[in-house]
Amino acid sequence: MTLVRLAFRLQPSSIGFAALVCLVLAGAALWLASDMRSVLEACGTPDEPKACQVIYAFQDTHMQAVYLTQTGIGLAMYGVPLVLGVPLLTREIEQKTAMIAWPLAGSRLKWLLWRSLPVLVVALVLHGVMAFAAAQLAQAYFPHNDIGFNGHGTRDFSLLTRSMLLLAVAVLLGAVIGRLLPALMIGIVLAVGISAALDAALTSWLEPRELAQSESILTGAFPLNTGFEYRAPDGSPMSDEVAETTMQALYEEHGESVDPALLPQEVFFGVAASRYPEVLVRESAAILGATVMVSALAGFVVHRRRPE
Amino acid sequence: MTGALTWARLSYRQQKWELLLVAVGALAAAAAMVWFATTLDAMRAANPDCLAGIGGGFVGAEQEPGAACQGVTSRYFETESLASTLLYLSWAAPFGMGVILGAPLVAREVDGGTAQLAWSLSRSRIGWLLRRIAFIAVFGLALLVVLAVTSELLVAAIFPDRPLGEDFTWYGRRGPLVVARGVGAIAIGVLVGAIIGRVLPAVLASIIVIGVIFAGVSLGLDQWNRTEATIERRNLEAFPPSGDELTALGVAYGIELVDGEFLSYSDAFDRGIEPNYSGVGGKVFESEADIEAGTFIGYDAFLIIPGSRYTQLVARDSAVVVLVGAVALGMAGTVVRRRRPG
Repeated sequence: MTLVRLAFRLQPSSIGFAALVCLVLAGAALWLASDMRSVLEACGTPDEPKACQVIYAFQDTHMQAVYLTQTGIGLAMYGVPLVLGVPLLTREIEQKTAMIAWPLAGSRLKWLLWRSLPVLVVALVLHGVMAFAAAQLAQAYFPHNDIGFNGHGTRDFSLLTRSMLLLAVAVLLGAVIGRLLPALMIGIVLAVGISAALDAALTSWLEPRELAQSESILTGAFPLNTGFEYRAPDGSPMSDEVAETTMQALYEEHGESVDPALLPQEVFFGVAASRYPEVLVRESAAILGATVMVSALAGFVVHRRRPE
Repeated sequence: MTGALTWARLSYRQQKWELLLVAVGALAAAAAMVWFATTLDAMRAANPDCLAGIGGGFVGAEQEPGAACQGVTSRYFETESLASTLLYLSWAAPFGMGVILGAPLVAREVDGGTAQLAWSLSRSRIGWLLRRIAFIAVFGLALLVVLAVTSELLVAAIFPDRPLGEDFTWYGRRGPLVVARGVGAIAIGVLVGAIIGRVLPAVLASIIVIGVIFAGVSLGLDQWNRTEATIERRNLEAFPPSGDELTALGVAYGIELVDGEFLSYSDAFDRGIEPNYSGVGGKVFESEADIEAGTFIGYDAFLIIPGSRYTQLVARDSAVVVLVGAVALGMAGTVVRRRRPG
C-alpha cells in the first residue's frame, strides 16, 4: 500500500489515467460477461433462448459491445504501459531533477529500482484485473466452446506479459530519449511494431500441422491458424485459382445439389486449441526473458547517460 | 513579417521534436497513400481485360474473370485491402494532432514557468495565445491538407468509376472533413492544456476530452442524420449491391415493419421482436413456421442519406466541428486571460 501511495504521489496523472482506463474497461468486460451468462440461465426451460443452442451464441445481441470492449482492452494493454513507463525518467530528466537525484542516490541502479518498483506494482495490479476481465468476457461470448487461441494476446496471462514487456520498453525509451512527448510518440510506433512482431513470431516458432476437421474453425474450435490450402477429392494439392474455378464450374453444372465429395476440400494448418496452455507457457517465458533484458538495458542507459 | 517569423521560430524551437515526428509520420502516410494509388492505377492499366470496372472489393459487372484472371484479381484485392488500412491514419491524424500539438501549447509554458515572463512581457495574453497557436495551427493544418488530398487520391484509385463528390464511402477519412476535425481537435487540446497547465496530465486528459467531445458530436450528427434519412429496402438478390446502396450514408440498419415504421435490429430485439430469417424480396420472418405460413414482419432495410448530398453534409459537419473548435478557442482565451501563470 505504501508503494502504491508513493507511486501515486510521484505520477498522479499517469496513474489516475491508467486506473481510470483499466478499471472502466475491466468493469465493462465483467458486466458484459455477467449479462451474457444471465441469458444462459434460461437454458433448459420452455422459453430457452437461441443462445443456448448456437456456437455464436451472442452474435445478434452483444457482438458490437463485446467488440468495442475488446478493442479498447487491446489498445489499453499497450497504451497504459507507455503512459506509466515513459514519464518515469523523462520527467526527472526534463525538469532537471535527475541532476540532483542521481548524485544523491549513490547508485543510479538502486534509484531506478526504487523509482520503478511502485509503478510496476500498480501496472501489475491494473493489468491483472484487466486480463482477468478480458478472459471472462472471451469465455462468456463463446459459452459452449474451448476458446483456445481466440483473443490470444489480449486476455489472461498473455495480456499481462505483453504489457510488462511494453512497460520495460517504455522505461528504456524514456531513458534513451529523455523527452516526454517524443518518447511517447516513438513508443506508439514501437508498440504497433512489437504487437505485430509478437503475433508473427508466434506462428514462426510453433510447429504447425494439418488440423483435423474436429480441430478446425469450421467446427467451432479456436486453433491458431497458420495456413490454408485446397485439396482435390483424390487428396492431391490444388492452387486456390484452380480450386475456385473448379467449384464455380461444379456449382454452375449442378447448382446447390452438388455432391460434396466432388468439391475441393478445405484443409487448415495450425496449432490445435488443445495446445494453448503449452504455447502460453513457452511464449510467456520468452516474453518475460525479453522483458528482463530490456529492463537491464534501461538500467545500463540510466547508469551511463548524462542526467540532462 | 519579421515579428511573425520570430514567433514561428520560437514556436518551432519549443516543440521541435513533436513537430518533426508529426511531420515525418504524416508525410510518410501521405507518401504511402500516393504509392498505393499509383500502384492500383498501374495494375489496372496493365491488366485491362481482368480489372476493368473493378473496385472496392467488387469485380466489374461487365467482365467475368476466368482462371487466367484470378491470380491478378487476388493480387489486386490484396493491394487494395492494404491501401484501405491507410485510411484509418487520415481518420486518426486530426485527433492525434489535437493531443500532441494542441495540449502542450499552453501547458508547457505554465509547467516550465516561462508563462510568467511571457505573459507579463506581452501587451495582451489573448494576442500572445493567438500568436502561439498560429504557427502550430498552420503547420498541423498544412499536414492535414496533405493527408486529406492524398486520401482522396487513394479512394479515387480504389473506386475509379465512382464520382466521389457524390459518394459517402469512407466518410470522414478523406477530404475537407479531415482538416476541419483537425481545427476542432487542436483547439480543444489547447483549451485542456490551458486549464490543466501541466504537460503530461494535459496530454492524457486531452485524449479523453477530445474522444468524448467528438463522440458526442458524432452522436448528435447521427441523430440529425436520422431526421433527414429515408428508408431504403435492401435488395439482397443484387450482387454487387445497387449504386445507391453503395454510395449512400448508412444511418441505421434494420427492418421496415409492415406498418411502415423503421426499427434498427437492436431496437427490434429490445421490443421482443425476433427478426431471425430473411427471405426472397428482403422479407423478414421470426420463425421457420412463419416462413412456411408466409407471415413476415417487415423488410430488411436501411435508413440512408443519398450520395448526392455528400458535399452538403461535408460542409455541414465541417462547420459543426469548426464551430466546436471556435468555442473551445474562445474558452481557452478566457482561461489564459484569467489564470495564474504558475
